[in-house]
Amino acid sequence: MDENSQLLVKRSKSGDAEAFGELYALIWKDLYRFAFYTLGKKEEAEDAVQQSAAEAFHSMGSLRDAAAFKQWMFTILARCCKRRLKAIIRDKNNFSLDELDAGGIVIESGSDQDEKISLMNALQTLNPQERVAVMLSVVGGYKSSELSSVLKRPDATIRSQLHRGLMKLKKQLSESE
Amino acid sequence: MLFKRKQIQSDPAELEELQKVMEKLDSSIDYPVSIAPQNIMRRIREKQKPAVYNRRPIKAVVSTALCLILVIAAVIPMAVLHGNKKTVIKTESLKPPVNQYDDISAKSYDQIKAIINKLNTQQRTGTTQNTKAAATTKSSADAAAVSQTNIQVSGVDEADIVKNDDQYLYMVSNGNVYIIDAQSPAKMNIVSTISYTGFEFAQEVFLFKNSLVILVNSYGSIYDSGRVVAKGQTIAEVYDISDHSHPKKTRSFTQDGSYISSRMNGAALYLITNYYVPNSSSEKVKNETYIPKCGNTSAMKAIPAQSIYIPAQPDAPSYIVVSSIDITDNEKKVSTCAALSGGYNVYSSLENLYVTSQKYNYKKNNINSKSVMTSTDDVTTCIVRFSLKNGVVSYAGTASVKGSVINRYAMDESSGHFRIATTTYGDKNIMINHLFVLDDKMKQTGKIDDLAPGERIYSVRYMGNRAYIVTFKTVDPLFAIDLSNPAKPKVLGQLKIPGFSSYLHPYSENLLIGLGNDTAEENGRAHTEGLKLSLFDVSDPLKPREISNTKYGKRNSYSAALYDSHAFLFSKEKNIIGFPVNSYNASDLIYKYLVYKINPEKGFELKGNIQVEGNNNFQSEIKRGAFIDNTLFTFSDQKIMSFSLADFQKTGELKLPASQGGNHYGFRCYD
Repeated sequence: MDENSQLLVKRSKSGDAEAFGELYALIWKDLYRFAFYTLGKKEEAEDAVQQSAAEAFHSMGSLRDAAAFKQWMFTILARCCKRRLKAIIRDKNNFSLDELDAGGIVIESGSDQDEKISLMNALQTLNPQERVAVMLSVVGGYKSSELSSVLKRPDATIRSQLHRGLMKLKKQLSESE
Repeated sequence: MLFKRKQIQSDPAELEELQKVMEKLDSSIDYPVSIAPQNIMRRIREKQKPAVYNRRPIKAVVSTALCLILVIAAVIPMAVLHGNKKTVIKTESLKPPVNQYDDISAKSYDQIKAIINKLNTQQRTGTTQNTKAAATTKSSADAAAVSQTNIQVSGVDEADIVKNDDQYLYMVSNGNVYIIDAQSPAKMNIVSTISYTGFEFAQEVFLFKNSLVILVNSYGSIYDSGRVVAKGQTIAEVYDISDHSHPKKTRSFTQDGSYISSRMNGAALYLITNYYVPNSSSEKVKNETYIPKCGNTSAMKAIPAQSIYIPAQPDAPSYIVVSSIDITDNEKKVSTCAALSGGYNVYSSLENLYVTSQKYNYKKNNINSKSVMTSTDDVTTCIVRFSLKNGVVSYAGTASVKGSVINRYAMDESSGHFRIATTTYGDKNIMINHLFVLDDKMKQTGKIDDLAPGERIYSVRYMGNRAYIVTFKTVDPLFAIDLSNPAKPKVLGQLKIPGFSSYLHPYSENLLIGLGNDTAEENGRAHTEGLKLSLFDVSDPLKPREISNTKYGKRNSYSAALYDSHAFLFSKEKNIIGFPVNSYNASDLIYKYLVYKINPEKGFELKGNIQVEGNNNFQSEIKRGAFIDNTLFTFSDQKIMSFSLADFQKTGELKLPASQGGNHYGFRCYD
């Protein structure tokens, strides 16, 4: 993390919303993509990102190492998404096209429309832990060794969840072709 | 038989494949404007929880989750009651400082430049530094029939996103300002809109007679051979709204720095910003930015050196800038004063403005064999005072106390003394709470040093010479503290009850309302349950009692009023409380607004349970309630609704224009 970002973290810790805004600006799209793929709905993802940003800002005191800002933000967001996922999964099963249109993905007509839909559907077959683990790897760019500190679970557990998730996705995607 | 645990490795090839598929999806993603950096920043500013808290989950060690309420006793009769009445504060011992701080005002710009250069260098290398310090009222005839912003100190108005008089509503939504004719609730309509685009967005407003004052967030740019350096700026715009359909801008005043807060006392507007010198290596940029500028928007000037104060050992190239502007007289000179310090919480009495900031003590640590500066739990709160005598701003001293403050309600000035309640995280992560009393020279006269060890402060309310403090671990005590002797503040009584209050509001001299959460325990840890409203009888400070309480909602219920006093609606005359609530029903987030009737003997009765119908997104979250006569208005970014206060039947609805997409992304777009 460069020295400018270190300074921004220091300022954010003292309550400077503008500094936090600059830090957030560096990663906000990644945060949203993670939340959107994990939760599957635009409103839910918006909610999760908003809540997590506010939570992160107000608990900046617990961030010790400035260089870990991105990881720490993802931790908060992942926690928030997992909480919501449990509630959502209880009630919904599959994506329909209607939901996708309203849900913040611009679907143009074309050959990859089906692929996008099947990917979103495939994501739904993962359970919360798998989904979060897979999304953190794909969107957050975390190696599986880093995931365990983000998700606060043993390395081996995370790796098996990640693996299962990837296998399920692969299976779903190849079946739908 | 021995089982060998199969080592499961995540397959990098699988990940790569998936990444490629996801990338296709990435390009179709529509990023919502509501979470763009600028809007997130705005949302964060609207809520005022301090930086230090929520770092630790609430740990339960004791078997019952009880709340401890401290009553800090008052011997002197209450001189101050929050309400719509004019405050009488006896401040004869609080002399306005005259020339006693001249020795620490800057002598020249060169002196300041040298300090700024040094601080910027220190910021880059991470060296640690330790530091050890009008009245306006609405015409009283209408006071009972028209709600007003829930302000901390009577006579000192606070800006908010919603204001109203007896005919019109004024609302800031998605960075724009709307003036709404509400004379006929069933036919509300927007009569004019003041909109902001690009990097500008309206934050909050004041209403003063026929003037609307709009506080606007903005950015100034400095160009230096192809590079652009942006610095935060705040604009105060004054509009004449005698003709509500055609507001006329009469003044535009710009001040360097991001908006911290503001106050109004009569026609005097006090604008407080925090200006951070951009850390640039360009000499041209350095020369243009090391001194904050302010003035009428087209004619900003650098603040004179003698108006800039350098308290001992500033630790960052940051200024607090305070200006006093008479919004009715464009010819009258504006007074501006700055101090080299940080600033995030603002408390203002009629006489003085106090700006506080938190300083963390950093120490070197080895993390992954790299030497890194990490913060410790050692936090101090630095307080800078500005005198507002006769509407003129002047520097009036600095003090430091240990610990951090929950919000501006932890501070109070009364009878010539300044009180502040803090929480420290001491050795071995044990929280302890303190209350400090300072005299008119900002010197400590007395303190309480060991309140509720193991717990932290959740809310504070001062009433004259009494302070009420709520702390919580799993047990939430309400403490009553006696402040009548500035040298010896003392705890008089305490009450332990379940749950905790995040906001305390005086109902009368002997009754205190608390809004907070109920709590429950699970596997040795406490967690918050639904919302809880409490009524405390503090007539006997040695034995405060909870007369009654009422609960609402289940786990994960939340109200903006827990942390933002402006979201709490209170009317003594109508005996009602109102506040927004977010709660979950299965997987759906429901936005509501609740109105309770208060009975001093029996407690609370839920009268209005307003729920937003339809597809809920953030734009439909109810943020404020206000009333004119017998009509209640609820405000969200999507719409304003009106209800009868008698039976809560809906009487009208006005949809606000949808938020603009595209251009409002913020000061920097990272792709």
